[in-house]
Amino acid sequence: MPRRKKVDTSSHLEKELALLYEISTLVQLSPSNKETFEKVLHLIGKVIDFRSASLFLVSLETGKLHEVAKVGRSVELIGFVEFDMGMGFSAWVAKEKRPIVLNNLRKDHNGNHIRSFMSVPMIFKDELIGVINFANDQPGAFSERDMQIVGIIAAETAVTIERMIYEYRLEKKNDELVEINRKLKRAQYKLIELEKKQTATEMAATLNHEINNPLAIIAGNAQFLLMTMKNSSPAIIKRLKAIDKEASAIANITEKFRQLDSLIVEDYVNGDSSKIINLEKSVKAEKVC
Amino acid sequence: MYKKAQYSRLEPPKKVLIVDDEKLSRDVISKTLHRYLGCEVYTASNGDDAFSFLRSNDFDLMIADLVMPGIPGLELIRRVRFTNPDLFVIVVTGNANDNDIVEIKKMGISQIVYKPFKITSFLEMVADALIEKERQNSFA
Repeated sequence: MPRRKKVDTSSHLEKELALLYEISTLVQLSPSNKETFEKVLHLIGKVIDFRSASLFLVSLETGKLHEVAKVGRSVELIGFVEFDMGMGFSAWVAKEKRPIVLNNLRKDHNGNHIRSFMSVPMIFKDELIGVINFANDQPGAFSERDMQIVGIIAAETAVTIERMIYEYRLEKKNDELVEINRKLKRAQYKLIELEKKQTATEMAATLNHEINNPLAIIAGNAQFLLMTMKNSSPAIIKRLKAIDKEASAIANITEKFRQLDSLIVEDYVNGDSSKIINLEKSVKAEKVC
Repeated sequence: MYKKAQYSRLEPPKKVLIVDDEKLSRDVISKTLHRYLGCEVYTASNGDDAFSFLRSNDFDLMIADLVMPGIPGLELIRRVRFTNPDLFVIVVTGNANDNDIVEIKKMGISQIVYKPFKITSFLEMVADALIEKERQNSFA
């Protein structure tokens, strides 16, 4: 539990300085998480008498305050009133960017026993980082001095949180860059593949036109002669059939070029750097219905 | 009733126009059609000559290449579809891309033959087309 304030001024100043050093070391060496913030609140309890305290931070996503750490019960006043940065008094302090102490609050019918309330904004380079609220069930619990002390601590903590936010944003930007880079590489790969395919398709079209026309004449004449010279010598028939067979073999290759869909390239010879297009794998899938 | 007669001469002789810029290609097709189907074969080496022929003669069938000097094959077929809508057309090509195929089919032509082709299969296709044309004429 937080200790009561002492009356001895010099001793109190020593405690405050020691506390500032302790908190400063803590926030600089610890990760900016719930545990660290709760430790900060507990440490503040060494010099400021409170029953409960809450630390709110501005959400990077929504821009509104949200509670990240507390000691005792959550501390908020007029939680039903909405301001730009959220609900309650903290949002008003956040908007105004100035601390406030209310030392003589009445008990309300809802069982709210807060008689003293202190709210201090956490500001770094004029940018609001968060708000720290303190509550006590006794009236007159917080002084101007308390407000100054918490103000210094809040500023120290804000620097660390800002660093965390900066790291978070940097990490996010880095993730975005990695993603953009990945997309760029994928697009580049697709473009290269597309260019390769386009080149191959153009080459195949030229090849088909230039080869298929004379091939049709060779094969057509060979077949015509086979049909018309059935009584010729077997040697001639054999040679004509050989011409027709080889022409068919070439035609099979040009037909595959015509059906070229993607380029599947493989090593031509093991250990050799030369590549060869696998025509079987590169042709379009056959339409079956 | 018409019966499919493979390689048998068709009576009366059918008039066929072959349009191809390759002389040897025109020769082998025309000789085959004349010898085995008894066709009266005319040839043109380019689309312009073919179109002139078609305007002054009635043909039962046109066999056309796609890549030619002058009017290209696709344009020739497009024009013929206006002037001779009943003319049967077979496309013979050394190479046709997917867009060409779509265009050809849009114009109601389903017979596309890729060079080189089997003469026997080609003869069957031409015979079928000519018999079908005669069947349609008899109902007209």
